[in-house]
Amino acid sequence: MEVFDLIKEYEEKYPNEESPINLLNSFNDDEIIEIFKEANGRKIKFENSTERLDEVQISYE
Amino acid sequence: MPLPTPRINESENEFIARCIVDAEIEEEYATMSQRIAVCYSQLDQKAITKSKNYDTQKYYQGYQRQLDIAERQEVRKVASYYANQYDQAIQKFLATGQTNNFQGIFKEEDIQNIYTNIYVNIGLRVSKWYQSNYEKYTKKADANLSDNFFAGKFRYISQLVGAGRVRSVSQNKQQTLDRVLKKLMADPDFQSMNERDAQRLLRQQFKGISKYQAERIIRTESTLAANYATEQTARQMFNEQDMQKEWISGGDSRVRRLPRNKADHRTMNGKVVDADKKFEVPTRNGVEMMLYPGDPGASSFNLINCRCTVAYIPREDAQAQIDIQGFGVQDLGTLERVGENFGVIVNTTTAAEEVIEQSRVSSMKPERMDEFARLDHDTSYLDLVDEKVTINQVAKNASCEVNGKTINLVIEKRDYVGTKVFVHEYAHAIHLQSKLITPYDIKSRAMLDFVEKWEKKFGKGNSAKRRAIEEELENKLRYITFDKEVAEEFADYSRGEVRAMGIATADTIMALTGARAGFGHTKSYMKAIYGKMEIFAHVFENKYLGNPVFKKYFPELYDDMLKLHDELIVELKAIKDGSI
Repeated sequence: MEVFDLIKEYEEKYPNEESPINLLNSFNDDEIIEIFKEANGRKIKFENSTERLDEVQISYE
Repeated sequence: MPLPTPRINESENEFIARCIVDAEIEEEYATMSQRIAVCYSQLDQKAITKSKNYDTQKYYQGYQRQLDIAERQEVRKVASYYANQYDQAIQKFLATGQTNNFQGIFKEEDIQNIYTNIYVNIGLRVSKWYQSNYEKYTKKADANLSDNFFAGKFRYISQLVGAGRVRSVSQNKQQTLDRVLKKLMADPDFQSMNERDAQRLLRQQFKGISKYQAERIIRTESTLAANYATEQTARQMFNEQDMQKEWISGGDSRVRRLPRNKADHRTMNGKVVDADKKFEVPTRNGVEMMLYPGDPGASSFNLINCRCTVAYIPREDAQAQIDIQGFGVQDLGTLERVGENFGVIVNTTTAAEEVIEQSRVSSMKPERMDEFARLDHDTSYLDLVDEKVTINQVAKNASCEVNGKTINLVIEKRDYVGTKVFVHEYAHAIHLQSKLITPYDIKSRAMLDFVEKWEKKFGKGNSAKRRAIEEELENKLRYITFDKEVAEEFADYSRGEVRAMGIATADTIMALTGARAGFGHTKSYMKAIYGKMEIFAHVFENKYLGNPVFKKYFPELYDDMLKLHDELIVELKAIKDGSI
């Protein structure tokens, strides 16, 4: 699956959560696919760092 | 290292004396007789081509012709602007009788635009003339020599020069109004005139003043504009080490000289130095080093009303099979006007890239920049930091430390995407180091005005209309970022490059809609002051690399970002000067 398909799938599953489409400025396609793999269906929580502009911290729940 | 060759106008004796003690010659040839023989052979070889290659008189005539045309055009435009503004002031004066109420008639932004037009229009004409005389003879010339590329360089220098002068030019106009009107008010003949006659007299007086003032500003700026253009063009066409430069004075009695004047340009006439060296200009206080006539770093007595020029002359071994006997007689025909945007992406060869790299050495260029970014774009933004930026290599997720001193980059392909990331993070370093925008404060009025304008355009409040606009925006942004049709439309770029352009567009719009449309960063981040920093970084990407996807699908916003860039540059300069 391509990144956009994974993003759409996630948005349908978690319509009230922030979309991983907002990771696009920080990660390339391969890295985002890897994040989806690590999430393994869980919610992806991400937050932009205030110490380093453009850095994103990822966690799963 | 190549063997030495004679310099333009270097006499035979001077060359032989220099050649036989040259380190390369001494190392390669053991005896003096060998060295002398080799040096004479070098001299013979050069002497034949030298006379064919370059004719100072023709060069100066050709240069002067182009400068005269460009100056006349600019004088006409500037005089017309001045006359219009003075006319507004006259109307105001006649309506109110006040001689000191002319705030806002000569706006600083209008004066800055005059500076920009002078530097871009004169610069482009001289640049094109120089290219037209050399480009057909050299293989070094490449696709980068476009109007937009040079317009960017000339616009940049105009902003640097203008930032220090526009205020005084604007104030000078107010003072002129005050002085002339007060004088007339004290004149009984003027007092007895009816309004129509008074208006006619005022218009006549200010028409003359407009022309005089227009000629003065053009004369003051044109020498730097033209010589800077020659230097920049030559540097793009030839390797610096393959060029020499000659100082050419006007040759008439007006040329400044010691002891009559504070500096001597008469003895400078015909002086030749290597392109990377400075000229030693005699002055009353000793010698002043100048890159070329009009060098903005020189004393005012070396600059004001100077009509000298510089010729950049490629060595003949850098210009194989060149015959430039016709130098100076090439006609340009109609000169196209300058486009607004100079952010162009040019697919150049590696060789061309090297030429550009060698010719544009910024002392602020970060170590290892070459590993992360291409260099075939205007890198003048590198000079906008106070402290050299350190590049730290990371495995993923490029970023910029909030102190603005370090950027963290991932080694990617040195294509548009890798270069775009570099420009983006470097732009963050610029606004952080200068403190124009930090996580705690925003000093940029231009950025605040820009955001306010576009927030309004994209719709504030919570109306159905606003939501409809946002939905349409979101769909459009997803289309331009992910759809194959768009990737095919921009066939000169890879799909990844087009995707990166779409993401940058979406990220900008995210910041301008309070994160209600668009994507790229987390919503909370973009709603805060960080959104303004992201806009700043995207402005620099658009300006220095260009984003054809953004430009095509959001042309008005794109153009406005380029204008914002120019305003940001002025603000950065003002911060350095301490006026912000």
